[in-house]
Amino acid sequence: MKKVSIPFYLASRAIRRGNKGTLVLTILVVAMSFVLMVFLPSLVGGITSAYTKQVTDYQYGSLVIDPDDDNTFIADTHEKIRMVKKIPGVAAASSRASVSTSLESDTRTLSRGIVAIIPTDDREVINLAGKMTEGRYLSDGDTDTILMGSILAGHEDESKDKMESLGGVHTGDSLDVTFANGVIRKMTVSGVFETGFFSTDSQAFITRKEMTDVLGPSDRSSTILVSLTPGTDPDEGKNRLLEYGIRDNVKTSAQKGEGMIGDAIKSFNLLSMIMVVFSLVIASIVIFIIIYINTINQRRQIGILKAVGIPERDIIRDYLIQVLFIFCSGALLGFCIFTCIREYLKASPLQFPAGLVYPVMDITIILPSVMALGIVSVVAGLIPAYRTANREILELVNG
Amino acid sequence: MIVETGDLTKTYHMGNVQVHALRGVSTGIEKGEFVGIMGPSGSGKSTFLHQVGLLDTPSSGTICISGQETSSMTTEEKARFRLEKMGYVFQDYALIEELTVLENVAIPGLGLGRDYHEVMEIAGGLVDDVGLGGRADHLRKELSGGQQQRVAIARSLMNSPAIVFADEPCANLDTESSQTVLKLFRHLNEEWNQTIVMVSHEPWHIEFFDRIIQFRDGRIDQ
Repeated sequence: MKKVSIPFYLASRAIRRGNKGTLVLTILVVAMSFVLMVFLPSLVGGITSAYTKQVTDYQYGSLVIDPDDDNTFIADTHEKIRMVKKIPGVAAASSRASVSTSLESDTRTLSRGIVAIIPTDDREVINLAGKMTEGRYLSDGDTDTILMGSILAGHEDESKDKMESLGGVHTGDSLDVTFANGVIRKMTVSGVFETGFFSTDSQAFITRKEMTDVLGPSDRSSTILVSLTPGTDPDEGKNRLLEYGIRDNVKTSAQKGEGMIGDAIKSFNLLSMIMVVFSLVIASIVIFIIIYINTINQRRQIGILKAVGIPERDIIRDYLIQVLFIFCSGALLGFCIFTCIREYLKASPLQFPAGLVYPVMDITIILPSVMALGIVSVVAGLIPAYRTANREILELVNG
Repeated sequence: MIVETGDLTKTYHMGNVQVHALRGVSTGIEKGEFVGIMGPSGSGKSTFLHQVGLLDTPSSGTICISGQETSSMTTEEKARFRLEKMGYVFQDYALIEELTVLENVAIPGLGLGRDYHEVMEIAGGLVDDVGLGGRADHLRKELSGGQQQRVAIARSLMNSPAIVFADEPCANLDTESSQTVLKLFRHLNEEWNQTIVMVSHEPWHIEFFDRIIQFRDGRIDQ
């Protein structure tokens, strides 16, 4: 014996033979609401993800060891690096020392802190060597040589600069570098790198050997960067460093970089929230109006079904199935539209200070949006159906 | 008696005004009768049909159908009772727009939870019986008024009801279509022993009825 579900029977025929224009319009509204709800949060996710990657790959590595609160520098750097490298999960470590300088090119002079590194150590933690746009990366024995970020190197045409620059220096150009102790060195630009990350591309690097030549021997550094073996969680790595007695200020790169775009992310999240609420309100109002008009137009039919003896709950379920169909189709269409936009932006990413950004498909963003849209659609569709089906038969049949 | 009413009243409240549509109607209809409910406009004939058809709730009085007292039934029970025991034919056909002729006829059977194939077979037979065999797959908008009313009659018979209620089924039809519909009712009554209660105000319909209940001012006019 084959029984037929009356709500499904009625709904399937209403969808197939009802007003196609209204159906397509409603599905489009749900689809667009879905895209609006998902796009901005996904873009924020993309910014966060790009930022985290940039910070890890080009700025800080996985962990950063800063001087503790009582000091302005890390002492015994050599010993500390040796210790850190032995800790399980640590892949490499590099010390960095900030040096105050004045940089003078043919056209401009800038006061700027530059960073002294041991290039072989640093390239194991940070991948600047892979981002050279011209020239070469530093070697440990280099002296009178400086590595330049593209933003600091700048352009001859000032209007193209993102910040105050040296006016367009290139590989092989000479700079006069004046150190805090008054020593002036003529340095040649070994190369220019560009990571797309604002903070990194506005830096310049010299070798530790150069610094020792100018300022004298020192085992101090401003910071130690640590990279972890693949698969090691940064928080876990941080805890391990603390367990092994690294008493300085250890932070993950995400914690270290929080201040840079943390406020921007918070603002974006607020905007996303506003967008989600507006999308939900618009979707619910439109679905409510369409279902309301639909039920008003079908009052008589609802009355006839009730008169024949079809229970109220089956009539309401009929509309519920129609709303669910609209929601599922709309969400699916919205997902396809969002995927197309995402693929397009993946091919032509947006340029943000955090680097190249495209929306990230995150189930923790999509699932709540789908659920919220589903609940809103069902409620918006059910209210008019319930209110109409609840009326007296004669009131419905007689209009 | 298949239908029996006792001192049935219905009062409508329109603001401060009370309209007494039925003023104590006590009557009965026997099984197999084709009864015409007649009377002038506003006499209470449609109101009576709505009460005994369980489409409305009377202000007071009793309604007994197929031996069952209906006043204590819940809305759900009434819906089930209508589905099992009653068929309806409305003035303006009352077909579901998105359903074909066959599907419209099948709806009460499917609503009752009967086997799909059995229901479709019966519905097909009923569609043939009312002379619309070639139009089973047509939608409402593709049919004339007379054809739509014949579909409505076929639908009313789907669950072999104890009684069919028809509320001025010929009001929107031309004379020829009205004749066809009335002959169909007569045929159902004579051949199937189907009990039919039909509201009408057309004097020429009288010849088709077994008996007439005449209404005037909310009462049966003796």
